[in-house]
Formats: sequence, C-alpha cells, structure tokens
Amino acid sequence: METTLSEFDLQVRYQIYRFFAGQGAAPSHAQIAVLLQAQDESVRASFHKLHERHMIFLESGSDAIRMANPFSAIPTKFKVTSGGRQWWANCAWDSLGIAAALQVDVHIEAAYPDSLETVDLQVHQGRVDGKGHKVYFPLPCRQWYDDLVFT
Amino acid sequence: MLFRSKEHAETWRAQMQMPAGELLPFEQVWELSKLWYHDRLLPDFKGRSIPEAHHIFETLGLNTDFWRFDGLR
Repeated sequence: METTLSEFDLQVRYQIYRFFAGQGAAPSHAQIAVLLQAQDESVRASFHKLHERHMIFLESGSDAIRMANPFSAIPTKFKVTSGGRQWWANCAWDSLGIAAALQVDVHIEAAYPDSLETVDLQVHQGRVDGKGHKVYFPLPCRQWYDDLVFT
Repeated sequence: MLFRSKEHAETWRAQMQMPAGELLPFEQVWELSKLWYHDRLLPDFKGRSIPEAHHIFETLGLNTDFWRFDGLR
C-alpha cells in the first residue's frame, strides 16, 4: 500500500530542502525536529515515509539522508558552487538541477568517469554552454529506483 | 555521468560493458533540469505524478520507452 504523506511530512520535506540549500549538507532528523519544534521521533518517522515515496533517500538501514535530489549528502564527482556556497550533486543532471532549484548561476566542477580529469561548466544568466559535453543515462526510468546510487 | 563527447561516452560504455542507455546534450539536460527541479524548494511541492513526469519528458522530445515510468519497480 502506498504511503500517504501528511501535512507534517511535507513540512519536514520542505525543511530538509531549505537546510540543504542553506548549509550544503544534509540535516539529521534531530535538527529538523528543532527547526519545526516537533518530536524527534515524529520527524524520524517522516524521514522514512518520505523515503518510501522517493522524495528523499536514506542510507540503507539508517535514518541518515543520502540524497534529497538534486542534493547529495556525500561528496561526489559533481561539486556545485555559487556566491561562496557549495553543494554536492548526485549526478550531472542534478548538478544542473541545483542551479534550477535555487534559481542561481553556478559553477560546476565535474569529474569524468573515464579519466581523473575534471571540467568546469557554468550556468550563467540562465544559460549553459555545454562545450559539446554529453550526459549518459544508463538505465530507463522504470529502473531508476532499483539502485539510485548507480542510476 | 558526464563525457566530453559522444565518442568518449561510447568508448567508455563499451569498455565497462554498460547498457546502451541514452546520451543527451548537456544543454538539453539543462532544459530538463529546469522543468524537473524548478519547484523543488517550494513549500507546497508534493512530488510528481507519473503522467506529470511523462509530460516533462515529452515536452523535450523524450518520448521513447526509455523515458516511461510504466511498470516502475
């Protein structure tokens, strides 16, 4: 049966995203509980409901956030910066997704999977110059949630 | 995954025995990002239905079976 999200769950989701946007890092359920002046256990339960609905992704067997797309809780091959702030993106798509979600210009420092080299790309005044770059999507949509880290 | 060219992507994919997948220009992924993520930081974002997701893909010409969530696992 599909998990139904309450208004409280959606408030938790919003605070997670605000935290990621402001801090460049994932919040714990305890930190969100403080922000919402709510019970820690209630927020922890919301984390799991949001995970079941694919709205955030927790580390396996844990309460810790691994992803709230486009944000990553751990360093990746995609570092995104803007105005002295920094975030990690889960993939190439999400590196652009951070610019779209925050509606800011960004610098993207990305590492190629086939070498140790990196490239700098930008979103500037709402436009990108991909310099011929391509983004590879290995799996069709219906398999995205089988292993989101691989996807 | 990001590659500097189609040739780099295809060489790496063959070496790693990865699935064919889809290769999109960086600029097209930016257009996809704007449609997919523009509302993610809004307080009333409640997720996206499968038809809504399909509509976004179709807007960008991504209308092959690869871009369908039908039978989502």
